[in-house]
Amino acid sequence: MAPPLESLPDELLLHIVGYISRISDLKALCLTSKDLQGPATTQLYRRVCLTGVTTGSPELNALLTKTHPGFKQIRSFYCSPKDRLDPLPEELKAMVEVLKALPKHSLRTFICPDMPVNEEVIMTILPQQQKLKKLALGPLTSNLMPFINAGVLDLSAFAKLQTLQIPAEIGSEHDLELYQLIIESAKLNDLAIACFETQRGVSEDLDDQPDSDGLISRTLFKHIRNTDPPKRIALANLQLAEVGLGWSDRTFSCYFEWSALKGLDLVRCPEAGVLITAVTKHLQAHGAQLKNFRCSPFQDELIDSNVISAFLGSFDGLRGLSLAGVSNFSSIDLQAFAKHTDTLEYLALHPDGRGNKSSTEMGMDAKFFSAVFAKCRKLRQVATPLPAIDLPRSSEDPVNLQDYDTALLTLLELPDLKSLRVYNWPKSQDPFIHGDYTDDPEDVLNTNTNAYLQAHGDFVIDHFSKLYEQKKCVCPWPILAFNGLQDSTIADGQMELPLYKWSTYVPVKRISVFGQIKVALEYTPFSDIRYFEPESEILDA
Amino acid sequence: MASEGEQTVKLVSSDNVEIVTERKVAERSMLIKNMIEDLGAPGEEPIPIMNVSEAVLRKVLEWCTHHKNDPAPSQDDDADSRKKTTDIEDWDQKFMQVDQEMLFEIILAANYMDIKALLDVGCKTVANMIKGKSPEEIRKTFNIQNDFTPEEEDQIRRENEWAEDR
Repeated sequence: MAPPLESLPDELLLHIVGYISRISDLKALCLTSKDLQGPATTQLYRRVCLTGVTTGSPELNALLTKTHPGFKQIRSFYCSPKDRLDPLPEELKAMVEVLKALPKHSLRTFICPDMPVNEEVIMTILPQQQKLKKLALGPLTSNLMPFINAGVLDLSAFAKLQTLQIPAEIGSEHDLELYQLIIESAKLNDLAIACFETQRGVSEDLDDQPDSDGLISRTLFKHIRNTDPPKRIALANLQLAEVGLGWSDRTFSCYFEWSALKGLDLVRCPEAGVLITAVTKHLQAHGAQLKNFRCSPFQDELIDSNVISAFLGSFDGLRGLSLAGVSNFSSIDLQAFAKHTDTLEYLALHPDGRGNKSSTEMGMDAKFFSAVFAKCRKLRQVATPLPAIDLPRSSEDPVNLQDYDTALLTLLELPDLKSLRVYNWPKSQDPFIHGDYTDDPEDVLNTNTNAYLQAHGDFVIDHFSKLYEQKKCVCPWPILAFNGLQDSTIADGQMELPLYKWSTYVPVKRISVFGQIKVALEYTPFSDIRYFEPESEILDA
Repeated sequence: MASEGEQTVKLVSSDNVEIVTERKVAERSMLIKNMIEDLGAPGEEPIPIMNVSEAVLRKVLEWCTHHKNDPAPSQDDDADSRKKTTDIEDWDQKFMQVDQEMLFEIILAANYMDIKALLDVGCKTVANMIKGKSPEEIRKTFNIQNDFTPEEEDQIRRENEWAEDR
């Protein structure tokens, strides 16, 4: 008779449930027996995410049962409005109710980048939660500086912060003043700046201009600019999103200790090449510890492949690399790239970041796959376009799949590959359904897109399974995900079908009637992917 | 004197069976490693592994033998930030294909003998057995008695109403 699971000591049960992240799994475990309810509840309450929860709602009332043993376990609190652009006062009230009810100094993570933050929120978290490590707030709706200057609000409560995200929406320059104080006093590991100009935004320029420095640069890094030479911040990870970098060789490049950085993420930053070039020089002079680098283009801008080549050649040992919007892929210096082939585990490549150019056009042909992907034997996650093909009408359709298959097999022969995201969709040879049976053009578009996805799904399951058999099952299959970038479309006869949807397939082992184990691909909703393989979060460029 | 690689140590299981194994293999267990360091003269004095029976100890040592050359777990700060994964390498998956009694015994032994990587693999295996199942299916899998009244079940459902999959 097996010793029952429940008889394991609590510390081991907690260790086990620590590997369960799906809420539905934890809720099921809570209901199995009294012995398992405890550890399952602890894990369930560790991380509380509320989306669109309003004050007085049954969900909130359930959570706010303060006598509940789980309430003490809350370490992370994520809160977001139902409509990101229109947070409701009742949603803010609900958030404040939770904050007020939480035990003192229990939170480590508080993330609400889309919730407006008034003085009540700040007045609640500052004295109550002094052990916060991660913080991301929405735009401040009032000026807190007089309170801080008068010593009423004590920012030393944020001294333990390690991760800080500057909100996308800057209500006024007082937001930036507050964050400047945090950056100056806390010993941050990770900093993310994602400031967009919005209608509520400040009147002044956030970004640097040719003849003057922008508000972000001037305010957030005031304490660095005032020292000579600048006392650079040594961060582990830096993310800049939509921050104009055209003059960053004068500004941002002097604020950070680039040689200490482990992760650099430049998301849709105009003229990112200027910063990359400045960082390259710094790394050449001071050495590098970079493990992850991600860069995606701002609108139609492309980053010069020479800039990327020089950057990659200035150090070695990257673990993760994600490049989208590089002017010409085939001209990236393979010798510079080779400095990272032994260590790369995550690689995402997208030539123009938009899907307007075919991979072959950008030099990503079958040869490219064997020159680049085949050399990186440690790859675990890959995101790439595959050579363009026409979607076969049936399995007998004589469509030329040679390049496609060669590239694909190169990838599938990587021994540790866990997930493969494909950016481009095969062209459809003929239109699916024509839309005169209904008046709503959006409806027609949706129907056609769904018909395309269905046909594509049939092709994937059928064709990929064939390849799998051909491959003789040497390595396990990765999770397959098909999803273009933002603007991906596929021409379907007369119309452009928007392909914003994910199509994800998971290999599932089945035992046939003859007792043989067969692996077949199965369509799986994207939200369930984590259930199959939590590590395989599909790489995003 | 033999070099450290070829040295052997004697372990004694809870049911008093002596097992001789390579020192390097045994030292995957932090418990044994510390004991050897304390004893000073490895190989001579047998090391008692009090809470682990012969069958389980042999199984644990089989795992240690396969993993004897694994690099020491990195204290890298990346490791902490990396998402907890339930990915288990193929050999370990096959190794863990044992009955539940043995599976729990391995977990308990790994915990007692302080072999973190083996403990992780064992716990991941159990976590994977729980995933995607209804409460009734979990009970069936692990032979668990439902000790809740229907009222208590309703109460738990209501309490956890705030949580949903995203």
